[in-house]
Amino acid sequence: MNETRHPAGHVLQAYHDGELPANEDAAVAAHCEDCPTCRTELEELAAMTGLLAASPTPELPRTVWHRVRPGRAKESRLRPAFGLAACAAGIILGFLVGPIRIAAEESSAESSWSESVTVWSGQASTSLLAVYQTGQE
Amino acid sequence: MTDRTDDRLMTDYVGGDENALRIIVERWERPVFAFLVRMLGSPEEAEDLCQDSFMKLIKAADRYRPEGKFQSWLFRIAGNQARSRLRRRKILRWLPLTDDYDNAPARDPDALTDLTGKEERDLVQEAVARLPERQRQALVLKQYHDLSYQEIADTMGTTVASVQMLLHRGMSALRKDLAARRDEG
Repeated sequence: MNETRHPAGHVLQAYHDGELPANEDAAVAAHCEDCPTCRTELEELAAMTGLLAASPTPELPRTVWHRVRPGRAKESRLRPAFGLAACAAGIILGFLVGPIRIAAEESSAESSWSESVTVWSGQASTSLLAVYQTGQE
Repeated sequence: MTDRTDDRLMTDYVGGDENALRIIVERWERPVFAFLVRMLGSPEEAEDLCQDSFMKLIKAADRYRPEGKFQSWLFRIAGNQARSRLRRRKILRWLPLTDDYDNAPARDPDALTDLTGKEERDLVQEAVARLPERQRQALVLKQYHDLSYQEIADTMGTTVASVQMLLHRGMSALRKDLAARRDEG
């Protein structure tokens, strides 16, 4: 490896990281002694590594242990079963209670309906009258 | 007994020692969380996925083989979590980093000597976040978790040669990105 034949970029990176096999490491070291281009490249890699190291380490706000311990995992596995049971109970309850409520409401339904229609038609006619009067002006 | 190795703790946990699991979680939750923040850019999501990663560990504990590769195994679980979340979010480019992350203490204060301050650290974080996912994963595991190339390869399910290329491309991209940002500034 001479000065004009530089090591490939990934080889220089591995050399910088101390990840080359001994023989290859020695060859790159020898090349870099005589090669200002590769020495500059290594200096830039070291500077970039320094910049990355200066980045703050994210801090975990609280331990996750209480949420992952096995008992908790079993509890969370049980939750879907409880949910399904609750849904089934709700449906059954709906079938049982529904007819009773309908029967109780049927007696008052007719009067409620007629009251609602009266209120609505009263409001509508008031609004129509206001529009008509505005148009006349 | 906190001096037990990770392999020993896993064996003890599978044998019924719940305290062994607690030690594992308390030993590794911070590195896993930091890794996930750097992969996702969001401390909130990282905390959720940190929890999920340990839940996965519990489920897979029976299948773990104690061969001294616990760290790679755990980071593989966390990496899979991060990758599936990123896929879901379809985030391929810039990930904004929050104030919580910015306000965390620096790992090595001496390394700040060449920086102009928070602005430059932000540029670095943003440049890391813009890296393609696999380059970012390899770089984060190397630079912040000090994994060897072989351990990174084990974690990412690839070869050492591939890790070399990922790291080289990642570092080159970072340098170009930062040079361009400085020129803009």
